Amino acid sequence: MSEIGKIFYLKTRIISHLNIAPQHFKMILEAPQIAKEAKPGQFIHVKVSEGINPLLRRPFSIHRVIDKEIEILYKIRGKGTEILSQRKEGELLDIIGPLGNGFPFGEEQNKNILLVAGGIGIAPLIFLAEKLREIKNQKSKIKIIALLGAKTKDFVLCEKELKDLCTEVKISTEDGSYGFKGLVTELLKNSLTPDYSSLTTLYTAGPLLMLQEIKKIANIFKILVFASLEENIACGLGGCLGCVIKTKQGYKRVCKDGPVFNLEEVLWE
Amino acid sequence: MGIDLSVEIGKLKLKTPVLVASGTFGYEENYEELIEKNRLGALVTKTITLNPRPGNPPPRIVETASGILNSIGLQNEGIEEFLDKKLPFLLKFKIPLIVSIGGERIEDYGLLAKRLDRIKEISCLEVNISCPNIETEGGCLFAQDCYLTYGVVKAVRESTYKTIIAKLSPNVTDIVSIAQSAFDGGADALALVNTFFGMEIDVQTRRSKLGSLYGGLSGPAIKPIALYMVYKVSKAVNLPIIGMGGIVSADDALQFFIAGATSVAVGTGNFINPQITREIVEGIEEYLKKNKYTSIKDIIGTIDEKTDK
Repeated sequence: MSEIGKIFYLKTRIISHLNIAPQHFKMILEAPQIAKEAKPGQFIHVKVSEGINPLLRRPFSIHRVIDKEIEILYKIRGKGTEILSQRKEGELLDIIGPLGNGFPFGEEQNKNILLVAGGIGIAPLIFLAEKLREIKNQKSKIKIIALLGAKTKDFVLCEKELKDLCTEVKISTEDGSYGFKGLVTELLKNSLTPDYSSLTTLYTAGPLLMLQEIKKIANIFKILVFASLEENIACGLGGCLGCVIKTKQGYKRVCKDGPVFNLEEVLWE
Repeated sequence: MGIDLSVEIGKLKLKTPVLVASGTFGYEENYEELIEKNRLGALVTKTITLNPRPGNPPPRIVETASGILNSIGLQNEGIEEFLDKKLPFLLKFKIPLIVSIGGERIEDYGLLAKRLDRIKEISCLEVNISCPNIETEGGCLFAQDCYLTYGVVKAVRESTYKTIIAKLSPNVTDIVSIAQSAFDGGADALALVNTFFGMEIDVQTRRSKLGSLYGGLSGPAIKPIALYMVYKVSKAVNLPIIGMGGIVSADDALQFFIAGATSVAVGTGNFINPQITREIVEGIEEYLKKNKYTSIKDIIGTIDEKTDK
């Protein structure tokens, strides 16, 4: 796992805030310290409003790092994201980061890389794809294949970015309005052949049911899977033990031991 | 002239009167800078038990209106591993260390106190008899019963000369009688309050939103009730009080001092802003300066009880 760098407590300026799809937003923040330290898979912990409503911060994966700016990509899910979506360009946002462990990758990178995203789960995978692309540029034998699943065509996110970064991009929509009709996990099953096996690393993020299905598929094909997981996170620093998940080594904190876990280690009820 | 923020809790001398509540602040490398800069009067550990406890199943945290409900379940590595692995880090800092202890039986507390008594760098024991997420032999929280409260505190008193803080529960009909029992058992100070029992239900599944059926409520939602209890106890029992419950600002903290607390602790507030204790210490200083006080002691218990406005 990557070494944890310094953590910054910042009031950052919102450089841009775009509504990129129904209920989906992209926010760019000026945060040079975080941009310098961040690793793919890490997150920032955001106070969406002043005061105590809502009380807790909200965690967001770092979507991209461009020079001195960081981006987050999010979907309105509840009160916190609803309030965040109303924040305006030029305003200051209270954030802590970068937090968490990040996706493991590097020199000894496996030959085949699969990126599997379900909906907003694409958020951390673009930053990862950019880093993997840098490795690929030095070591051209690597194949990066992205599988992107969405409900309908309107919710297909980051297709262009993926096409620029990956060897191949496959898309699925649940209603068949774009690409393969069905779930991204079905698309994954169709795409896998026995030669994928032990030389493949799969990175993923998305809904729980998708991750559970990927775990089953990965088991059959003996693929190593690293997934970014979610829980209700309070402190974000590993202090309160509130965001644990069950693993083979007992309870682990999503905010500090994760959010990225080897799926083989994770025990779901 | 500088403002004197020091207070005494039993034999313990605190440079500032602001602490973190047990279990709300970590002690790993990423907290090092926060511990050094936060101007804490003392470090308070997460509650330690005799044997390791895995804690409760997730989800363990649910946000509520101006509060959070937690069911962590005293997850900890047990006393021996704590001493071996965690204590060295905590002793790096030049501030007093308060170790919080918990158990399911009265004997547990005596054994823990005996074990910790031998370690001279530990200044003080906080006796957690009020965690809502633990099953005890009495079938209720120790802090919900005068005899059990007395029994636990006495067992600790007989095992150590260190300063003892009894941490009380607000889930009682008469907090004063429980506080008196802790005093009778030999407590040097009181910490109040711990969390309130509470629950949140998902109406679609009709199941608890926590992994456990219920948990403990903390945060600004409980502040007025905690403040009332601190006030009542400070009037009736002659022990220093560490006031806590929903403190998220210097104004909140000052209310506790005026109500009678000698010191305050911040819990849930640390999750919102990990540097909150430093901001609260600075806010208290500013208030004292502005109102021409020279010491925090000048305002403790100074509530003006006139009501005819």
